[in-house]
Amino acid sequence: MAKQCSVNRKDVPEGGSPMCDDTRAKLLPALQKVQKEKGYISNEDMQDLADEFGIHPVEVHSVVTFYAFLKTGKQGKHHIRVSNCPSCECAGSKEVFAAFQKELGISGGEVTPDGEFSLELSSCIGMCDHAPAVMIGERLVGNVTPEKAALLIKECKEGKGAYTGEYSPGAIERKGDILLKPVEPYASLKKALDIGRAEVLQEVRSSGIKGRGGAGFPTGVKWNLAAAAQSDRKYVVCNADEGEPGTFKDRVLISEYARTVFEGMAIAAFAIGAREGIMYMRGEYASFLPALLDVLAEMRKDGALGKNIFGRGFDFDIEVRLGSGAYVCGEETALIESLEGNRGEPRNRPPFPVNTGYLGDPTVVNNVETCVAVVHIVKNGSEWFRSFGTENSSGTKLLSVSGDCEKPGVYEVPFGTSIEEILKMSGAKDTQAVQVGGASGICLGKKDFKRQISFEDVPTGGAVIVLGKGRDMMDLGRNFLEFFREESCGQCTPCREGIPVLLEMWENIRNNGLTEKERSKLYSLAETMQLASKCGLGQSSPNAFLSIIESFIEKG
Amino acid sequence: MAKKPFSEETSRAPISQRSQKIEETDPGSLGGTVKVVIDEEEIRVPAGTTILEAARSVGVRIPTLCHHDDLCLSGVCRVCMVEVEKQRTLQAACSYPVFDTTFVKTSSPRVRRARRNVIQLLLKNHYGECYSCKKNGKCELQDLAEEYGVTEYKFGHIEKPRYEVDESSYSVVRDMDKCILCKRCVRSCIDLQEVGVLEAINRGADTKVVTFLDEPMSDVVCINCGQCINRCPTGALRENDDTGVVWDAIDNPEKHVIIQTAPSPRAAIGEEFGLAPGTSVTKKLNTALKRMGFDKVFDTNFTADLTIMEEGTELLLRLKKALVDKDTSVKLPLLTSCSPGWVKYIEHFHPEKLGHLSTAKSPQQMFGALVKTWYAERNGIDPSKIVSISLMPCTAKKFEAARPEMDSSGFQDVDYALTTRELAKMIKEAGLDVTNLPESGFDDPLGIGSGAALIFGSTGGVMEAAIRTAYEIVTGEPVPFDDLCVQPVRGMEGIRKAELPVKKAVPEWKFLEGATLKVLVAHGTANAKRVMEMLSSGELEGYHFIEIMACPGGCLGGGGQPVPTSPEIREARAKAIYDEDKILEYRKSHDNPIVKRIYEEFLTDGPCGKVSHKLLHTSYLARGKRIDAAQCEMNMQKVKPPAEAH
Repeated sequence: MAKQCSVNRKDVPEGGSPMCDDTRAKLLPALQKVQKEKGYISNEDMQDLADEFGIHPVEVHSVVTFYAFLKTGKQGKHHIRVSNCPSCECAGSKEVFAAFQKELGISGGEVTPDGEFSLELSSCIGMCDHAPAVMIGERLVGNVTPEKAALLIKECKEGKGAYTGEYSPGAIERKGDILLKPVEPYASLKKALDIGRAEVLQEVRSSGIKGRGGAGFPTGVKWNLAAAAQSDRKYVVCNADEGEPGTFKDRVLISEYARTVFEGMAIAAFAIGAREGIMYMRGEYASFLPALLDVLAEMRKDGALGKNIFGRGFDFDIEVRLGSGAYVCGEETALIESLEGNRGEPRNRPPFPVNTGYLGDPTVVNNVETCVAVVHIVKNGSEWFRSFGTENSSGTKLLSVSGDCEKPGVYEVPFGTSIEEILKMSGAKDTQAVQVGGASGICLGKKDFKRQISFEDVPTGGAVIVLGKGRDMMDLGRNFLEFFREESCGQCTPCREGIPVLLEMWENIRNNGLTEKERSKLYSLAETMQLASKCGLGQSSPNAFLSIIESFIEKG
Repeated sequence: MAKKPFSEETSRAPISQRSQKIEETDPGSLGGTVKVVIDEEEIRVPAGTTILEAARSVGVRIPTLCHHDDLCLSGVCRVCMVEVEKQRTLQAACSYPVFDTTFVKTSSPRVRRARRNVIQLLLKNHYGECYSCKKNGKCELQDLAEEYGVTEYKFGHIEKPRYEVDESSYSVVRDMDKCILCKRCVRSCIDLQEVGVLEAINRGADTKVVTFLDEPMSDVVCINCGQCINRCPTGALRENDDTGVVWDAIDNPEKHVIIQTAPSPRAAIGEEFGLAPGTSVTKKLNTALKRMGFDKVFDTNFTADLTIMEEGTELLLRLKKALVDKDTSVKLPLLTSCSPGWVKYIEHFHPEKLGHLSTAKSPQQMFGALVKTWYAERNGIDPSKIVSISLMPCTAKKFEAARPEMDSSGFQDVDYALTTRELAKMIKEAGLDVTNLPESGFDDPLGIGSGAALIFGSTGGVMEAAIRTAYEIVTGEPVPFDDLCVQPVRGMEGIRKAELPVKKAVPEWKFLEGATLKVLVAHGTANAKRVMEMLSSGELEGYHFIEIMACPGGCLGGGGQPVPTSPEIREARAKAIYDEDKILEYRKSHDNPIVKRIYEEFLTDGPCGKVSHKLLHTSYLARGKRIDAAQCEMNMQKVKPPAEAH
């Protein structure tokens, strides 16, 4: 019988397999395999896997039902997910979904009688720049129209393996001075190995870089804490689970800058003393996996990964693991829980991952973009890096711009760039509002367009959704609340119970306007959710709705 | 953190949900303790102590709901929020370990607002009214609602039930409309007991606690231990209520209603009447029962003594077969069988080891079989008119009483098993206050039990009782322990081992001379699981006798006992039982005069003889843990609703 995941490693006999490498941590990959092969996970499978992993069937059941991509009922041979993020909704995802329903003769959650197709609405799939977008099996297809729905179904039936509008790299609209600049392969990693661990830590700290995922924790501090933690084993995890509606910049980095991302992970590993790295990539990006594995193989061949990297006695390798459709897994402790084969429920903090992370060992979790930035920082120095951006927000930021603009895509801009400038760059006209930071971000009206993208003013993980004149702002609020209702992990009270209440309030406000009583209830509840939720998701879940109320309803 | 009744190393709890307390550090050493200032109150605590523990140590009360001293950290209900200096958000006191100087405010406007709103949010989907709830007056959510001044449902209140009450089990009833998702039951079932019946499925607002495939409780691997009930803060989990049928029986003049009372409820029922844990009320309880209208009040300890005679003899016979007759088919070590939760556990999870399980019935069932035979005959009572009730600390006893094979008297041997909580309720309904009643004795003839039987209630008690008797049978001398207290098998360690050398033996048991009796005691099925693994691996080679109790602490920590429960409460109950043992007239099962008499006049071919085999022994069912596939497929459809089309 397999050993349980949470057995402390110190109990595992020396020479034995590292904890979880063959146990609970492999539960999610095992479930993904069954899902892929059979199209669903039967109760027999759950009981078999429970036996195999030495856990209870109800625990497997619990994990399966947490993840949107794992199904307990049969799914069609071609499973079609229609993204319903704001950008896709603005671009007509509802009409596209209706067209699929009509063509297939089924509604969401159903399977066609011949077992060929199944259909569902899904949270953002990271294709906002090609909205409306759908996912067919593992393939991402953009710019779908109601007319195209029939064509896609035909292509599925013909089994050509490629679809009209399928995503191919090439969505970068503006290359800035750092992240998207070409960089000589491995030059940075080699330099890191030359200057040594202390110097690398120092450079990263001096650069002032803050985590690019949105929370903005100083990367240098994180690395120093992990480097100082005492453990034989440490991990570097790259968080490639971008799920914030309106974000897709990591998709671009993964598909076009994979080697740089991995090189950044290797530098982090060298700095903190880790030998193992994991990239946790959202299941929506599964189609990039083969290419990523090729890059890893190539890097091993080049001596940039594996044993004794560049002959310098540094061992490090990277494994790519897939998520299974759960936004909350972008939260670093939920991500670690997911890596360990559990439901993606955020942990109590402290302890922090830098001390007690994956499998209980010190773990650094860095966003994809942060990994890329680090490569440039080590190569060109912290001073150079600080010359971009603002005092407290050094460097540049990748923005995923979508919605009502002419040129949706990825833009690299220095911190301090104003909303106005971004709107200009992307060719947005008659803009009513800009949602910055996705569902957990804030909604800015015209009066705020002079504000700047930076940690001190308008912080963001990168999502910028442009909303043109005539867009129903309350509708946007509903979209985000529904997103959170779908994606909340459900463990803590304020988030689980609070979001449905906010949706009821939305309904009331829509019908009766914002009465004083409703208003005080709303702010009181929002405060509790912001202060008392366990993780960042819950804490930020009322933000977008609140800012919409503040900017567009309160004023009249 | 109080000592956990289960092993932290093997807990399924995520690493972050374990205690972070650094126990090894010398509190005097640099960094060994940290300063915490709670509402102006300054103390030093070991690094890693939670804010909740620190607050408790200076008498500051912080409300909790999902936290339970027996279980791993959780931090999900968000009732225990406090302000921690320099933290932007509020922090959950139950799961926030302090590692450096920390300033905490436990009652600021922000804190009070948050707690009030969290309680309101919990009430929103908590269906039903308090006055029709079994937990009325004992509900932690109700208490908090009162404490935080809930006078209206600020965020609304669900008006219709969402789930059907699952009353399929003889023991545990689940009413998920009252569930507030604190997951104490999940942690009890998976971590504390390692049975793994309950877990949360789905996510967000759709999260709910279910059995595997949402099957009814009667069809899953539930062992009926009721530990989930003991820790449920609301009325979502409760025992199957038999008080109504018992009142009916009492009120029916045609019926001869007898009740047997087990020692653990007697040491705990006082808690339901406001007495401190560990106050035994045996004789007052007798008076209460008689005033309620029970025709006879008997002592389960009598059949506990009988269990020792039967199980002890079974052990000695197995030893003889193995050592003298060299019969290799004999299964050793012998496992005790008086805990019905443990019996169902082994039937589900280790059916291949059922051969090790003693065939002796539990004291409750032996009692049932004798009441409707020996007692009925001797007193000229028609056994069909007898209603046999038991007072047990245990929810699994309900299931055991209902097992179809438990009918060796020609009737269902025990008709109803009441929990301590149920009987307390009945006593209150009868207008009696146990604390203020005169004392009275048990009725004849089934009213004498030894101290050995009494200590059955605590983990290690059966083993100690068996040793007191078996040692004396084999050596002709009392056990070589001060005041007969077999200290090595006592205590609250999850698994305890002991050895007892047999230096000389009477002629009949000569083959045991020079041997060393090796025994093991375990409580809580999580520890039972360890023991089964040890048995499989051959680690228990040479062991003779193993006592296993399904519940932490043994029967005194049973699933039918008063709520709340904690390591301290269980230890107090154990102390009450061990203290009472010392003052009893008979201390050894074989000294019980009624036991001697019953073997003379009724079970005439002695322990493990033909008559006792018919009445006092039983058989088991290899249940396995697999759930039937076809049935699952059907149920599967209803478990996970297809994604909604918006």
